[in-house]
Amino acid sequence: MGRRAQQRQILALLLAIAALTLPVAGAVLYHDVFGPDPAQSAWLVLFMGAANQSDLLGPVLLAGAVGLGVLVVRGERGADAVPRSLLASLLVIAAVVQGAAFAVGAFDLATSDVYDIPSTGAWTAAQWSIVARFVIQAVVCATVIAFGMRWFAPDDRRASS
Amino acid sequence: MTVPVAPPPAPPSSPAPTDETEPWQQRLEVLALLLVLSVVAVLVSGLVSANAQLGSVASDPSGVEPPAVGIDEVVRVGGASANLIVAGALLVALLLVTLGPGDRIGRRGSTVLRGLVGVGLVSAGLAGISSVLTVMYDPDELSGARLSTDFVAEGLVGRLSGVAPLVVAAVIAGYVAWCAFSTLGEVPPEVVAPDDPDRDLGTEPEGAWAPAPAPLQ
Repeated sequence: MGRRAQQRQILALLLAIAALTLPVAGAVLYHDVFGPDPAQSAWLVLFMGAANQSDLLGPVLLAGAVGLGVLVVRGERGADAVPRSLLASLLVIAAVVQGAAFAVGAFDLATSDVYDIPSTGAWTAAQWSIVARFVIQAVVCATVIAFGMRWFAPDDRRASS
Repeated sequence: MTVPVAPPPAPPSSPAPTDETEPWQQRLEVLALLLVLSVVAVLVSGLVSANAQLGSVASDPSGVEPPAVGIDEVVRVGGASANLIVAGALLVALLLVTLGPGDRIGRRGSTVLRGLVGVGLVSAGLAGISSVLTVMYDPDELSGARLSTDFVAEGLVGRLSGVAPLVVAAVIAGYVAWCAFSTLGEVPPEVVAPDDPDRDLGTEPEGAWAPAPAPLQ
């Protein structure tokens, strides 16, 4: 495997680490700030923190890591700079964490009365647009999970083509 | 009688930039150059706006000359602009140059790679220093100290979670700078005849520079 391909593998690993760092840091941050909030359960605060901190950047990082990984896997044979199983598992874990945060966030925002959102048209539209954004981002994370699981297959070169 | 020996050929240095690149490679290099420029603008504007905000906060409405804003304060606040978005932009710029459709990197691409080395290192330094300063920041006005090590006792996890994305951004920006630097110093592959038995098909570097033109007859 060429040097550039190895560098791309390491970059994919760094992107996956960043994609995992964002939601975890957001959850811890929200737990620190809004921890003892009686209006919301502690678990919900964690999920909302992860979803809000990830925002659009989290799925973009996941997609970037998948793109770089597929590029390297399909491009060249040879010794990996990063074990493929490590990259795939890190990617799957990050996508699971983000996907769960987005899914729970969307469900909570759609069903909960805690946020006290006015029932006027503009506010309702804003609420449902955020719900739609969370749902789409959860779907992106689910797709990344599927791609990551395919990397666990023994001959992923054939499987990815 | 001594036979004059020709001096050994000079070792190949960094590949000479060329304009004979594919049109789409040139366009992607322009895009990468714009990305690097936008990152520079983001970093500069982050520092300048941090300086302005801290100066306005420190100014006294009674007309007394405000104290000068410390450079550590400016770096702490303004360095937060060197975040994951900036690191991602630098990474995309690197990929645009090195993953282009052409085998050759043009003059603009070499400029982008040189810029990536500098801007990546600056961005990584800003993010790293800002994260350290943020962790050690002490907002207690009574003590007068801006930085302290009290974070070990109070809210270490909270502070670390706040700066963790910035630390990852610093690592990514630094690694992008290293990748750009190593691409700049890449040695072009030796020209090997297709029927050469020593030709190793498995070790040719990817994205190699185009082989040298055949010698004139």
